[in-house]
Amino acid sequence: MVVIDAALVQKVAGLASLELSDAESTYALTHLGRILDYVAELERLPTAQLTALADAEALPAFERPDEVSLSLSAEAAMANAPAHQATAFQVPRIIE
Amino acid sequence: MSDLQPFSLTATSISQGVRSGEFSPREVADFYIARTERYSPGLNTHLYWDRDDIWQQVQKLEGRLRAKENLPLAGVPVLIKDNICTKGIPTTCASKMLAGFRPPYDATVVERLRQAGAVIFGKANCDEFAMGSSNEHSAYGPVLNPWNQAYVPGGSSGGSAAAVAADLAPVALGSDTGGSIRQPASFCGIAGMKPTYGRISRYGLVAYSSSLDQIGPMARTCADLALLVDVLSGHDPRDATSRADPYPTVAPQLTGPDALKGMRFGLVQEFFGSGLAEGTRAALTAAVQTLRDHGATVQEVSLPTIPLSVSAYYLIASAEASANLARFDGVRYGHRTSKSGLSLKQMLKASRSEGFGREVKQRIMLGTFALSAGYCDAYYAKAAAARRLITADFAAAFAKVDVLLAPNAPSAAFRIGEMEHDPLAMYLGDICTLGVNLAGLPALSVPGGFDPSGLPIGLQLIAPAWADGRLLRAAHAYEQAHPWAKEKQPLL
Amino acid sequence: MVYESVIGLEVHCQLATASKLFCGCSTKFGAAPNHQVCPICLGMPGVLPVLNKMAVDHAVSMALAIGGEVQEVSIFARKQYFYPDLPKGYQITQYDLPYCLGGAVTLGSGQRIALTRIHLEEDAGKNVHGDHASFVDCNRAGTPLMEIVSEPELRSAADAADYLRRVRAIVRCIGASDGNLEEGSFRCDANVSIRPVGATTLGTRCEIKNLNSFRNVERAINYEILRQSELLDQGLKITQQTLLFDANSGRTQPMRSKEESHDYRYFPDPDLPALVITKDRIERLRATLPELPEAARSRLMTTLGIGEASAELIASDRDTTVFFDRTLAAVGDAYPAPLIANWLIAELLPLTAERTWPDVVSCIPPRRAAALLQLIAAGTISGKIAKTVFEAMLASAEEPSAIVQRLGLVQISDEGAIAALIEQVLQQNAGQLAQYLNGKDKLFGFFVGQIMKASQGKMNPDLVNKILSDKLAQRRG
Repeated sequence: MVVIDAALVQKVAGLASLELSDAESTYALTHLGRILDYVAELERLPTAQLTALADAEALPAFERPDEVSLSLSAEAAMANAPAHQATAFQVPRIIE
Repeated sequence: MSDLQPFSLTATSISQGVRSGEFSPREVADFYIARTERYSPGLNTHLYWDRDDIWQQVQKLEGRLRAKENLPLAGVPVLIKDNICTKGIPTTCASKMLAGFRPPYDATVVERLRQAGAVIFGKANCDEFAMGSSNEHSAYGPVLNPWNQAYVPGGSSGGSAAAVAADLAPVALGSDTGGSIRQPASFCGIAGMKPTYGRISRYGLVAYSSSLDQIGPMARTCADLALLVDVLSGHDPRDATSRADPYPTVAPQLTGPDALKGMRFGLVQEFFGSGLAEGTRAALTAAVQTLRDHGATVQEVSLPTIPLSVSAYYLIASAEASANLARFDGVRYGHRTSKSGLSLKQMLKASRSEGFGREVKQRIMLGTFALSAGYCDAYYAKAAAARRLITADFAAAFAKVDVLLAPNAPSAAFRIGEMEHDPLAMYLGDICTLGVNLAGLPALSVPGGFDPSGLPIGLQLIAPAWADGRLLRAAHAYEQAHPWAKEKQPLL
Repeated sequence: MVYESVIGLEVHCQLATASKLFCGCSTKFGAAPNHQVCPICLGMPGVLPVLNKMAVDHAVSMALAIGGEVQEVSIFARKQYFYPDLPKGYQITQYDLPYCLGGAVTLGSGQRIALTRIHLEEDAGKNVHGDHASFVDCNRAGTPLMEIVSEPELRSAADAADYLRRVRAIVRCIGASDGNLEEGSFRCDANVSIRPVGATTLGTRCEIKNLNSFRNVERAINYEILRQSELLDQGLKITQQTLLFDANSGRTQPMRSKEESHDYRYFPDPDLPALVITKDRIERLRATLPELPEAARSRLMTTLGIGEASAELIASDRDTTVFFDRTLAAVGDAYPAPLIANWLIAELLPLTAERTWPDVVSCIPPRRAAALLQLIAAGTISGKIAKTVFEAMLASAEEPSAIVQRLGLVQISDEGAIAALIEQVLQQNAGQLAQYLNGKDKLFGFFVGQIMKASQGKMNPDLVNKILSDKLAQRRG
């Protein structure tokens, strides 16, 4: 199937918002490579419709009534925040 | 109270004893507090422990008992795996990413336990974010197997399994995505069950793989498993994947060894190849004989596509995990890097990279890759196709038999560090348990003997979807026919 | 070179539900930051989404209103990317299988604009930027949205604005959304490309995001068309990019953060069962659909003889249509529908600029408006005097007839009295009379003005005109 190279590892890490150390990148190269070689056995199977209708229909549909329930207090929402100003989560300045 | 002996109490006997007044919840709590404080540091089973909180719970419970409330789990200490949210109590998932994180809510299962009068008895160590089969991937150190502390207890619910095996609590909650309750139960000589997908609410279980995860009980007896399953089961309007129609309770379905008469068992032949350790093969063979001696029939069945389960599982589970773990970005909670002067993007990357351990990062990478443009059809979609084939194989097998039999792993527990260099080999060891999660079936491990070195081996039983009662009935019957757990205890 | 513009619009429309799409937090606008959040919309560990039934009902009603095909089974998918206002690191949306396909909206010009699809999704939170940091407010995260996607069949900025107004009128009419652009409950992205007239392939398109007023939609699209035309005229290529419109400069600018194309890694959300919409539910919702703007417009024009512009104005808003119909019913045959429409547009609609409809209706219920119109119809007051009466009606709950009596505004229709006053005025203005008789016809208006002044506007203007004309004609001989 696919050949894993350092560039692909970097690209995937970027998509996952991870920065790997050199050691971790090397490990990923080997590790991912071996796993992908192994899972190549799936190649011969017909591709499932990712719409996954069959899987989706296995679970009965479920909806809830449109009712407002008690939210968290803003203090509770901030309780685990690494950085916040008043009741807003603080992050480095976003440049747009 | 010194009358209480190790390895003598069960959740069933405690709740009966507390309700009848035979002993007080305080006595029970103190007994287990003493055992925990003595043995858990050496085994590293616990990530959170607060005995003052336990005594406070006991005090409230005593008030409820005086008010004559009906409490099916009155005074029963329950250890909670640390990937299950407990309000105000640190829930770390054994990760640096959630060090000190205190959820503002209880998981539904925790609410139900409290409601039933149980005492929440600390948080159990596990593999980080439930990803692992040995409890060697915790950011807070590995858990040791009480039967031999040079060996792993199994994973990812290693802390829960080891604690119950060492009688630090009569029962514990674990979670099972690919065998994470059954395999450690097997390695630690206790019973552990994964219910049918959708039976027990996942609300409050930190998601690893949403379509595979289930919470389940771990205990020394099947009767205790049943007691807990009945308390925890039922529709939760906060979990759209939990079944809404009512279904029968399981505890009343447990009778005795006579339930084995006429029961049809199927031995999954794909698990009995050359990779199976002799000790495990022998234990399974002996179990089959026990079943036959009690009037059950045992035949060979084939699940031809089950060998695909490692590929299907690791692609699906990693894909779902990569999305489920995307919320850990250091913005609203969890670890944020202390490096200064970073841009937002750099901050997200650094926080995630520092917070997650190596195995978690590798699975996120695998999952991200499997879903990425250009590869999604080849990997994720194929895995979904394999999943359907495996599910169909189980259904076909259940047309011929009532319960399937299998090992939980190719061998008993392995040495700490033994599999570190070969993650793929560790993944392959999961082959006995993964298919069950892919098909959403109920399955459990019940003690089934020991290997030549004295390490426990569990017998895995699998039933059709929603036949959890039948499953426990069969397991209980076997357990009564041969109560391995009573024969030997780990020396601590 | 002459180019044809090709425009497609994506509207993100917030649904009028009390709670969010997947949790029970309130959707009310204007709360202090993070005062309407819970573990679910904050994306805390262990939480799960559960679908809001009312959001689905609104969505289905919209599909029916625009003639789309409601899919019996549709799927929620995860769209993955990292951004601080996206708590879970993915948005729950619909990708491969949306709940509605097709449909159309007809413009005022008669052109039918086909829709590609409509789907349900959750909104993100909000980032606010300070000098050295940014701040994340998750109040809006999880609000239900309908994304309405048109085919690229619009051909001008004006048509684009017209399309938007009609879509807005529909969602407001069926109660699915309050369609408020300023508050952000109705947001529009425009995809704009150009091609030589007669070409069949599409040019490279640019996406202008988050246009927040009808005027800016038109300005932005017009600027973009110009920008692209100039580039092509110079022989340069159009780069596909995402743009923001700067209302101050009137120009579109590239968005920096969106330069890399995203790999969203869509896959079905395993926490949510498929959305199943039964035929029963569809029919039940169809039966509760109110008269839609297009049908109302037709009815006003064809059945009631109201002119196109007035019909458009009234039909574009359900509250206005309902008020008009109720007033008409109360007035009966006494006063013609087109005149009721004129009065409504001139006098009542301006009130809604400052007040909400419920306020307007409690002040001037249709029955009371009808009473005023009946006084005009009966000739008791003139249209001009009616304005004075109306102002008094806004200040008190008095019946119009009582106000007329109290202020002594009854119209004078006594021809004798009118004739007498006219004579008086003509005599007092002999100079102008002479000029008029010599041919200065314009002075007719002057005499009317003097008569009205002398009578404090109370003389029946039609009779004044008639009698004055007669008298002047007589004098001309």
